[in-house]
Amino acid sequence: MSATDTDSAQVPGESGAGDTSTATTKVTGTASQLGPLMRVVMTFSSQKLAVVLLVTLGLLTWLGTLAQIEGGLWATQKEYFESWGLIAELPLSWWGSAIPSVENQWVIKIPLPGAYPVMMLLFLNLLVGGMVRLKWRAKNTGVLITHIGIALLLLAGFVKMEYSYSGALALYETPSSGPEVPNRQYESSTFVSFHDYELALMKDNGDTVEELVVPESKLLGAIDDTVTLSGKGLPFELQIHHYLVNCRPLSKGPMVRVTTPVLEEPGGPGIYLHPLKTSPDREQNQTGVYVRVMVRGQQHAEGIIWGPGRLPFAQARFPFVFELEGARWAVDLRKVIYELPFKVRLSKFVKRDHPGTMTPADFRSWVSVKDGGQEREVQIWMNNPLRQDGYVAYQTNWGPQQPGPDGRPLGPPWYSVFEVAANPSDQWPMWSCWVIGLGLFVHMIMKLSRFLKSSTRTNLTA
Amino acid sequence: MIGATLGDVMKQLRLPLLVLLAFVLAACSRPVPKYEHEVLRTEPWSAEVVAEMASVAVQDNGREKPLSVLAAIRLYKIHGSRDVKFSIIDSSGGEQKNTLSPTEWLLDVWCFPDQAGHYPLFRIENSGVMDALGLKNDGQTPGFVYISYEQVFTVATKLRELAGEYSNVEAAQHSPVEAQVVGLWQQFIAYNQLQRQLEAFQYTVPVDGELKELFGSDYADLGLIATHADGFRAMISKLDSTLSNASESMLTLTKFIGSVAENDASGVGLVGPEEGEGDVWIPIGAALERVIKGQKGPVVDMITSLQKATNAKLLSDREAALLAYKAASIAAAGSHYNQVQIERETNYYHSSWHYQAIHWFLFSFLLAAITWMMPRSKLMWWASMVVSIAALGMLSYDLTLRCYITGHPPIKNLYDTFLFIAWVSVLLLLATEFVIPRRMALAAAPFFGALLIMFARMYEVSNAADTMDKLQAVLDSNFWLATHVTTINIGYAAGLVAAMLAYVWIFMRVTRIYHPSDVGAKALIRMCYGVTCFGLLFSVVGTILGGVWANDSWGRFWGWDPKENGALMICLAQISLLHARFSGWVRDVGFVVWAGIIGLVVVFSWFHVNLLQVGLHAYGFSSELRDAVWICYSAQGGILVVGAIDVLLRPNPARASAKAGVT
Repeated sequence: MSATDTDSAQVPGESGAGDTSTATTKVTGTASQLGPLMRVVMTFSSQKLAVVLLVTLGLLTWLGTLAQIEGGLWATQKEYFESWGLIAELPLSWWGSAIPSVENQWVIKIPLPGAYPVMMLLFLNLLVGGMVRLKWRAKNTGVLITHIGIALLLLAGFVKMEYSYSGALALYETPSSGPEVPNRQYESSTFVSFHDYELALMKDNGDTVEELVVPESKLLGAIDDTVTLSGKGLPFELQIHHYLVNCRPLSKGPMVRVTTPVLEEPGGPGIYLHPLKTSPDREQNQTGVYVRVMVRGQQHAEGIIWGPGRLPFAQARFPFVFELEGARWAVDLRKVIYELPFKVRLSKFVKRDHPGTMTPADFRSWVSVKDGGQEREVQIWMNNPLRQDGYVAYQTNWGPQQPGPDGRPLGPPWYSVFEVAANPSDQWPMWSCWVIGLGLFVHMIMKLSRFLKSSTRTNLTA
Repeated sequence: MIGATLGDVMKQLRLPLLVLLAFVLAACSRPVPKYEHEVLRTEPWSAEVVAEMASVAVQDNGREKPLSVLAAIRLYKIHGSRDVKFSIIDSSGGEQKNTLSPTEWLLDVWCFPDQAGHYPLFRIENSGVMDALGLKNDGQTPGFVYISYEQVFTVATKLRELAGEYSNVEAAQHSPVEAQVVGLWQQFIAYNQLQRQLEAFQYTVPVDGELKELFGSDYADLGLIATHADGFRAMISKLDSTLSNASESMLTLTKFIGSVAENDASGVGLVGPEEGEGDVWIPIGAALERVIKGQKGPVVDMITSLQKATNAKLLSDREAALLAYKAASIAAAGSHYNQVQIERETNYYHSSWHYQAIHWFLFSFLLAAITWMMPRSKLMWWASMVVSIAALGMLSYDLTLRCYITGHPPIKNLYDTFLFIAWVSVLLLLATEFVIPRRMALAAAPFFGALLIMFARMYEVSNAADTMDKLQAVLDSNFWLATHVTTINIGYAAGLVAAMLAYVWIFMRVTRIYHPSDVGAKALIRMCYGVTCFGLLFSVVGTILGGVWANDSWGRFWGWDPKENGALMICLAQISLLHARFSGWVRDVGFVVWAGIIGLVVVFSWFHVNLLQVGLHAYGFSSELRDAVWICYSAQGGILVVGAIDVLLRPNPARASAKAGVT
């Protein structure tokens, strides 16, 4: 690669349209004069690499959009946008129908890097090429501001992906009079992940419960193998196997062929986990796993742990319980539970429909937020979340939505569902939007006013 | 000189133009289908009554709207057209042509159901549908036929069966016949619901004894029941709970009233709520029930005037009754009847400023075309410019009225995007013409404006939905509609305008009107570049604002939803184009082809993603929309392919010796 390639902004712009001096770089010279390090820097910061990366990202976005038709959003997102590389598939179609219109569709396979590495390279390219090597002149002000804004935006995406988490918080309306119904959740200081599971080991200490938590990533090995979990001071090891992403526990019928182990059940035909097809909609999957308690190499107990959360009901769970050396232990597979530094109680929920229809015009919740000794009332509705202590709670859903006798949803009492997200970069995109908007605006106005005064325009309009 | 070149081009295009002309003529002169039944309404509705009835308020899909709007939406759905055309063969054998506006048609459905039921209304484009339903195909026109409600009614059972069966298959997988059978069933239902709103007024129930005495007649109809509600209530109160002491005719009558009260699935409310009774309008049957229970006042007048309007012998009596109905309807709804707003909306559709703008845009385009022949004429330039600005003014007024009526910023659904993008595109092209006055943007502006408004009107009919419908909760935010939605659509508009300028460049190169190094070609590239820069600002800001909105309503800035991806693709394509240009990687040809591809990306993002049936912006599947999207792809792709072939065959075209004269 010659220096004119990497530093092609030096090519005079005889074509007339692009003002090629805009991005003129500081480094000039021929390849032989530059050290190897400099050459690498120049390659990685070149505008041509930027073009390649932008086009690649565009291609990925397009193919990743089409892939969602078959694969669903979540799986496609993992494969295309959060991976290091993939083989993208472009199913050929004409007029919206597959070519040929039989099941064996013609597919073009394209190996591509994932969006993650592309965006990281783009960030580096932007930092070095678009900010450091850019000529810091008055006429590049707009470009520089824009690049700073884009860098901030990419950074916000990175922080969000690495450091944010979210889940659901569902609460029943507190009755304005009369007693609260047991098992219904009216107030909470926790929220539950939408789809991440964790394995919790609990020890009953009499008045307290000690918890040990194993994240989902360490359990996935049990999908087709046995994973052994042990800990310092634990008098046993846990072996987990047959981790089933979507399954239901069933009683073993006499004529049923079962591919998973059947556990004995006192006085019953035995229980097993029945595997189901994994749903592309991840929230639909109800995960389960077999667990064996091993004491000094001998099996002490064996059980099944399974179960999604049951919001908006109180967290009544049924873990697998066993006793060892006089102590009670329990193992549970549950959606990850996150703690909030404050408590939320739902005082009232109101849903208003457009007259004569079942389309909601508005649904909003009145909640009281208890933070330490302080308590305040807030309203949460669509487009108006609650922001507190780095957490954001959004109105997402409501219920019960099952139709009652009159065909309208069964309520009141209503429950309200909030999505709670913790994201350190929550507001960064908005700031970056201001910065980018300003940068592009400044640049456009400067270029336009220069063009209006230029001889190029006189020549074009002559 | 340029005239000569243009002349050569025209010579080459003569044959295709003739074919096109023949095609257009054939399309315009479609034979009018015949009405073959007894004529019950022998004279036309008077213009005054139609105008008055057009602005009667009804509640449909969560909002009060003029009757004319309801009639139009339903007619689009049922008939796929803006009016009903048919010819009547009179006794002397002469052919009399009729055209009904949506309001006139709805009045016929209500007041002359037997006649309206025989209008040739349902368009069958595939003879396979007729065969599947067992209908005789008498072939009015090769290609398609119109059949009446009564004809469909005879095969309704079969139709329901087939439609139910086909509905189990995904819409995108339907064969043309299956798609039309499902569509026909939905159209049939839509018609049936409209007709049933007032159907009960056509029936009478024979009565005797006490009832005969009460009504002063040996039959009862809804009008008589409403007038004598007090006496009737007194008689009902004497009945025991099992109706064992009811006379035969009393039993028949109560059964009839019961079925009337339940017999309306149209979801359209005709009678406004009483003070303090919420905001739901009710159908006539439910109103009758209330009258029997003791409600008095204008509701009674509504029912009695409808009885006359649907049954009087003379048309003039029926018309008088309709006017009385309107007055009673206003009185019955009280403060719920926003007359100013309803009149404003009626007038909006009646004046239809955007439709008028089409004509002026086309006139301006003609003037601009003349400026090509008379390049030195400042007068023609200004004439075209002034007419375009006037048409733009009409479009602006239209959009302003829409905002005023709906109480929202200009875009709140897919239909609005057409008008808004037309507005932005024309503005952008006219501004471009002022910066680089070469009469190209001057011609492109009215052409593109007229084209997009025509698309809007086609979409309005094919979508057959109220374009001012209420918003669902998540969209009901004027702040975000005004910021994100408008900026992203300005981005779309700029992308399309840049692509169009690129196609003009390709056309000029292919037809050898311009040599790539001509001043005109260079000017086109400049315009395309400027518009792309302008578009980039709005695409990027609009896309990020979309994320900020999503973050405020769903808790995530970016979710790789198809609509988000589409917006991102436009940004990426525009940014990469500008960087490829700066880095010297692409010159004129590359720039133009790239800008053309951005046009494809805009179509993908604007419409195609809504058809993919995934994500948060899935609007359901429509085969017409799919066809439109693929026609857009094919047209743009075709130009790009032709351009690419031309570049491959003539990478360095020689200058025509006479080119010096190009101005």
